[in-house]
Amino acid sequence: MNYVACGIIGVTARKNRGASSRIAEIVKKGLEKLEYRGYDSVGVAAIYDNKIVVRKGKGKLSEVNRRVKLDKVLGWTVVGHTRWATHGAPSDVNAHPHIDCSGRIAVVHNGIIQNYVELKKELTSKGHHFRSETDTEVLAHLIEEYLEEESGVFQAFKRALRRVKGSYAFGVIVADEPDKIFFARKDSPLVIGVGEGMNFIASDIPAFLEYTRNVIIVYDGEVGFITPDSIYLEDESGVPIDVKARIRKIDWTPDMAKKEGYPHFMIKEIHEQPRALRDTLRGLDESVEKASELILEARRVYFVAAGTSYHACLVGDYLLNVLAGIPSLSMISSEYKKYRRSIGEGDVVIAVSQSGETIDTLMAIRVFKKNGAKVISVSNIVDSAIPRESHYTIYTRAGPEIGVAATKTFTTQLLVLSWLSLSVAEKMGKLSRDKVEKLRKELEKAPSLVSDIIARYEGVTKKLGEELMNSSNAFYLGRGIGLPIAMEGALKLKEIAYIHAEAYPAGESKHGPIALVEPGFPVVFLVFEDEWKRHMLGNIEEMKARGAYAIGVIPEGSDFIEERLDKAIVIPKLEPIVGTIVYSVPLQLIAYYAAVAKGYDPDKPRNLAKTVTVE
Amino acid sequence: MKGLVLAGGKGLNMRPLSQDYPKVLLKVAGKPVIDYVLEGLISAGVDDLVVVVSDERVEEHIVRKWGMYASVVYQEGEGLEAAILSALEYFKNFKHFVLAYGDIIAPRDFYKLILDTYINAGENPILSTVPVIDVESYGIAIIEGNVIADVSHEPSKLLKKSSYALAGAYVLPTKLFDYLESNYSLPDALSLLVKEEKTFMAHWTGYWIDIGYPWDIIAANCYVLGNLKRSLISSRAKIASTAIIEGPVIIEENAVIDHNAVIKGPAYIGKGAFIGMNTFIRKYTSIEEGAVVGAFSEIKRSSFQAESSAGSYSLIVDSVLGFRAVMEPRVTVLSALAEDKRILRELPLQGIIKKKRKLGVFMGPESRIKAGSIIQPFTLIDAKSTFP
Repeated sequence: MNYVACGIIGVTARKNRGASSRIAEIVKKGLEKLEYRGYDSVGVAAIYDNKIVVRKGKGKLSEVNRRVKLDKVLGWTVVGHTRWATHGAPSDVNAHPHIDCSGRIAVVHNGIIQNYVELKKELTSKGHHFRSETDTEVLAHLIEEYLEEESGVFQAFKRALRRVKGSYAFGVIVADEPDKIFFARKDSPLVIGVGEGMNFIASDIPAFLEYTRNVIIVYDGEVGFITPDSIYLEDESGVPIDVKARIRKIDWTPDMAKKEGYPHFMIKEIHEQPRALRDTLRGLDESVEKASELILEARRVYFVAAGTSYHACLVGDYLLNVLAGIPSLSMISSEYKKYRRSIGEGDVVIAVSQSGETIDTLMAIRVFKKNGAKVISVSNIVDSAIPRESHYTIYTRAGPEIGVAATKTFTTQLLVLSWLSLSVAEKMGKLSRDKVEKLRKELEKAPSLVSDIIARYEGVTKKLGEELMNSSNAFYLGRGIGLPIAMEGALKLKEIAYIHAEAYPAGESKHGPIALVEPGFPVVFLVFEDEWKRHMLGNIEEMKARGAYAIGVIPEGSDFIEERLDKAIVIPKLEPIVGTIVYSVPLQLIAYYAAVAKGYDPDKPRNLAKTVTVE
Repeated sequence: MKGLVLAGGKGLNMRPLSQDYPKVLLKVAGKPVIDYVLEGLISAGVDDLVVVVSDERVEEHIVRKWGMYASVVYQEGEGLEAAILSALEYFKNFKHFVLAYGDIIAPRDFYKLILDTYINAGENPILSTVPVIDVESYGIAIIEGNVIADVSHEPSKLLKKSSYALAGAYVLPTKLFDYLESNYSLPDALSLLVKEEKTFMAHWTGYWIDIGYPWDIIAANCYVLGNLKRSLISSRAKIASTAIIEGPVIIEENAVIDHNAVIKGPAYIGKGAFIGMNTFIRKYTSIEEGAVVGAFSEIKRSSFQAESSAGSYSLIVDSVLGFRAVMEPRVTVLSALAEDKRILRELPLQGIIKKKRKLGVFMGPESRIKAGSIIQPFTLIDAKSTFP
């Protein structure tokens, strides 16, 4: 496990603070605010009548709540957890909270216990029985073990912590001390909310901001507990901390807190792409091999997806054709019925969906599968609907994407599909092993290339975004593998900056679209270091001749192109297979900055939802 | 939270507008530059402020308008480092403080982002960053993820690597004072800091202008007025029945808009300002308090600082008239720059259709242009002088 973001929350209140299920409602609301940290499983634990009750399950908060009624749990001391797994399937059992053998201790955890395998072995040999595959459960059993020897829960908790290596924010409740929530922090965020007759712990401030604005930031190494009326906190060496002096009053709008120094999720996620690409590269496993074998045996290969994922398909489809000589085709999933009789036995369908829940794509693969086709999926959500119904799934490891406009999930999809095409081309014998290795090495550079391009060109793209803000139309032109990237750039500009943008194959533009071009009309050209570079110059000239405002993303050493452009973003000379990833980034930034300049919220484009689950 | 605001210094690049006039009191859409900073800080919860000044007029303004939140300290010695050290005694007993430059125009959310990031990052130091196209004219930040990896004021080293300018508002540990006392320059002290303590970035993506050059006043007016969402017209403004007012405008009390004047917003007309008969006020223009525009004139994308005036039949574009500057009647300002002229900090909203960069005249306080003059693009006129 290399990337885990989860959210925890705990609330303890005086019994006179309303109905006994009110605290669970507060915890559920808090979990909603923490869903951006992960949303593949969720759970709560409460102390009622000196017993611990746990309700949890796999799925989004709203679904799990419908199933097990998280918000109806009784009790005045409640902890909750929302999980995001990238390795190991999310399941009802693996969902937090986790309890000990006796069921008297419940633990929620954000982080990773590195030495859990040893600890688990040791505890099992002492007779402890484990229910889940998680690292977290060891803490519950450790506390159980030490409760017998120590005087009081806090001592046992601290002793258990000393055994744990790794990162954590823990929230622990124990039936013996029903009005306390124990907590500790090391390398994972944790804050305390100081209320009246009600105190809170959480991974992030918005979780409880509705109830109190008085906050204590817990520092690394600190440990303590809250009760409804008090807070105890001590440092690493066991010295109590003056809690009052640490209280800060927060005066802000709740949703700003979780963006880690960025004003919007979209720009945060654009900046996260180097990490997302790196994690995706690390996460590539035998599913790529298995998928490529399936493709080798296929009669025909089809790609199916909607929106941004469709553009990733067009790149995958291009590479299969060009590198492996496989005549594959991409379809938009809502139009799948065109193929319902023609795709079947012997065919392979590659479905691409960030959420794994896109309804049109799901419907399409169901029909094709019924006809006898084999299904490979590419998704960012482990064990979501489309992966569950596929023969093989290759996961992107982009982490949760909150901005409605896909950014890091798109570039990681490109990475996965490129990697897959290389495997297929190699197995087909169409590319030499050396060539494949060389191209894989290029793909491995994507994280650092993307990081450089963002740092170097964010200023220019901001300026370009501000300039585009006054345009009502734009064209994006590309050829070959650049065409799908042009389409994605145009989609971004449409969906968040509400500027009408169309992408065309550059060679097609003179068959109609060019009629619209008048002085100042912005045209974005994507020029790759490939066989089409010279042709693109011709397209630039014909647009310039009509007064277009020519913006180009071009390879280094193309001065003859650069001097014809009004604005150029110069990218190092790249193999087109990695160029797709790198060229996407400035287009995302341009759209983002155009939206910001126009005063729109790029995270919440009007009329759009993150996952389309209605046909 | 306690904050230190830098509002002293001579503003040399700002000449002639800053000749014998404090840069932070120059007005943008009705407010002195310093007010944008103080409002932003206070709204983000930084409401215990020390403002370092080197001019009595700034002190007077701070005490009168911000006395509830701010104390004033006079700058001892030259340079940023000396300015910060002048306020040392106010910060001795604190762990962290906010350091803000008094000449930044940005929305309030800019300051909120910095304080939010600070609290959320577990009280680590925070440096704000902003992407710019001409990073060489600012301090430069190198980032790794959302952490500041390095800071430099030597563009040659970092230019190709980063487009992030340090954005002029930071949360810093008070040990910064110790560094400065040991004769570190501010850039070196920040560079040392980011190596010693994990320093997070607050990455600002909205509008942001460092008022450093005279034409930055025009840029600031474009952004601030461009973000006006609605019109505000004082019931005590005197607007002739035949005047035409379009688009978002702010018209303050006792302003006079004479017959047949046309105002196409976004624009700002200050208290007691006078817009003469048949005058045309175009986009992104601010006519500040007590300024006068004579009849039959056309004004585009310009700033009339307080009590400045232009006589009848003038054409004034892409220009700033300093405090009490006077333009006599029938002056024509030309503003299209030659293609090869290099100017730091391009103006916004230019270069879209015809790609022309434009700068007109910048008049120092109490300067004068004689009647009938034709002013060539990018002309600077010294304070209290007469042109030609």
